[in-house]
Amino acid sequence: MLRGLCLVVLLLAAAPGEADEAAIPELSCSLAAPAELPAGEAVHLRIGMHNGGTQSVEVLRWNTPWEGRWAAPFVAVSRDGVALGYGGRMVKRSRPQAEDWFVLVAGGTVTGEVDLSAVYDLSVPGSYQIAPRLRLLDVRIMGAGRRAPGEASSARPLDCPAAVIRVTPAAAASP
Amino acid sequence: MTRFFRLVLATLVLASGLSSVAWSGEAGDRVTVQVSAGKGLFSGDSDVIVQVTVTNPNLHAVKVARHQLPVNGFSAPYFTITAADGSRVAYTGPLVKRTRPAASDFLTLAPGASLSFPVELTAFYEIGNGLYTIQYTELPPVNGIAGLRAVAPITLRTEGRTLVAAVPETAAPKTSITTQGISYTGNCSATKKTTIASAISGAKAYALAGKNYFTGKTNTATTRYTKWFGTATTARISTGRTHFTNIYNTLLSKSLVMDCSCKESDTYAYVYPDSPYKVYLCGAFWSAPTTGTDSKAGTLIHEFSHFTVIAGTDDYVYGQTDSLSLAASNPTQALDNADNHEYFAENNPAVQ
Repeated sequence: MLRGLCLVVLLLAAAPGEADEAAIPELSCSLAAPAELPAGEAVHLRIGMHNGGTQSVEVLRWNTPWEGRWAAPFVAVSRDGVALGYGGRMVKRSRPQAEDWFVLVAGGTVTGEVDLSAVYDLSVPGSYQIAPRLRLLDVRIMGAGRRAPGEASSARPLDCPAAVIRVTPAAAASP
Repeated sequence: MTRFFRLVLATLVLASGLSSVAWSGEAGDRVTVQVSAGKGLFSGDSDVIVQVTVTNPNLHAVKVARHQLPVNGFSAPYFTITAADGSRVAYTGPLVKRTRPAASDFLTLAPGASLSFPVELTAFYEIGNGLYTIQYTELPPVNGIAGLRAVAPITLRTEGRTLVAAVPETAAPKTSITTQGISYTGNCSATKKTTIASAISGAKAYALAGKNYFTGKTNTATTRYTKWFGTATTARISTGRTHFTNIYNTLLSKSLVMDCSCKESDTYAYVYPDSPYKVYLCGAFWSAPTTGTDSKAGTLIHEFSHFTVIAGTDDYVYGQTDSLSLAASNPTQALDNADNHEYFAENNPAVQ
């Protein structure tokens, strides 16, 4: 009962462009992060999205881990409770091109790997809280046709699990 | 003995192969270019120097053009340097347009011969801190001049740098500073500099009008506000006032850096929000109108709103349609969305 209530709240929060919201199948997110690693090493996150529905969808890859680069702070990081500044870029786009979309088939999963240490300073030993804040800027049922200019997109958040990474002091270099 | 025999054989092959052509450069000859660094980590504000080694692997002498190699300084972006986040490091050195080369513009490399020289990358590339991949730019052979084949990219790490690019005074200036406090990087042409100046003037006018809109307003807002930022409250109006006051003060009095190196056609511009006040202008920016919807001036409002020290906005949605629905459904996010600031500033079509 309580679980059902939470789900409803999540769907409501998934608004602004609610156009074909109901038709979009359930998309879920996964996050794999190292539990502990020495300072100075690259911190790779693997972020996956699974299409649990029965229809294939097309997803706009802008500002997501599936774009292959950091174009937005789609992961928030804090160290011992203090939020860190995002060192990557933020990009203003014009119209999406065909290659800006990818297909996620029914039952399929897309996984992207990103280096968190490229955009956040993770060099100080401590406990880092990794909180994905993914937004899908547009999702459509495959074959539903292109959105007309001026038509609302179906931007919505994608709820992802959080993680904690423990960064330990760098191993002393052997002489 | 075996070695001697091989040498004889090679000489014979050479002799037969060279019967008609003395310098066989046109048959697709290439020399190899190996980049190496003495160390993997450069700490502090030290120069990042790599060694470039050019080798002729052919059995005959080849000609290479001096201007394809940084033997006497830079005249082109010889290296492609990529940061760990995949972004290309901007080349700030000179680009030299050439006329017909003279004989002295070529070097001859004997079979198996190498040429090695040091090159300071920090003089002409904006290298900051982090992991960088350095690749020499390959060139095809042309008109009897050997092409260049890069052996393999190298990676090196920098840390503790405070100077982004240590440009010697004698080198070509990295940036040209105007009296308005605008400087340019990434090879902005004179035409683009003029265009940027108009865009900044337009953005200043937008920011001033935006700032003035909030003057004297406490908790009442007009259509213009509610259209782009949703339901007004005292706190939200105060936030909007702070944002536009900050944007205006920045455009008026801060040193701004405009970069023209981005060529992506479906992108207007981007910034690193924690690195004020540098804006990277891309392909879609140049085809946008100076003012109006999704204009150059409006794009600058969008970009400046991203800087953490100004407003620290996010990109929840893009475009007028989605920004309008965001204002209606989530006023808090609208006040934190860059495009909503841009469209409020552009106010097109104009409402009171």
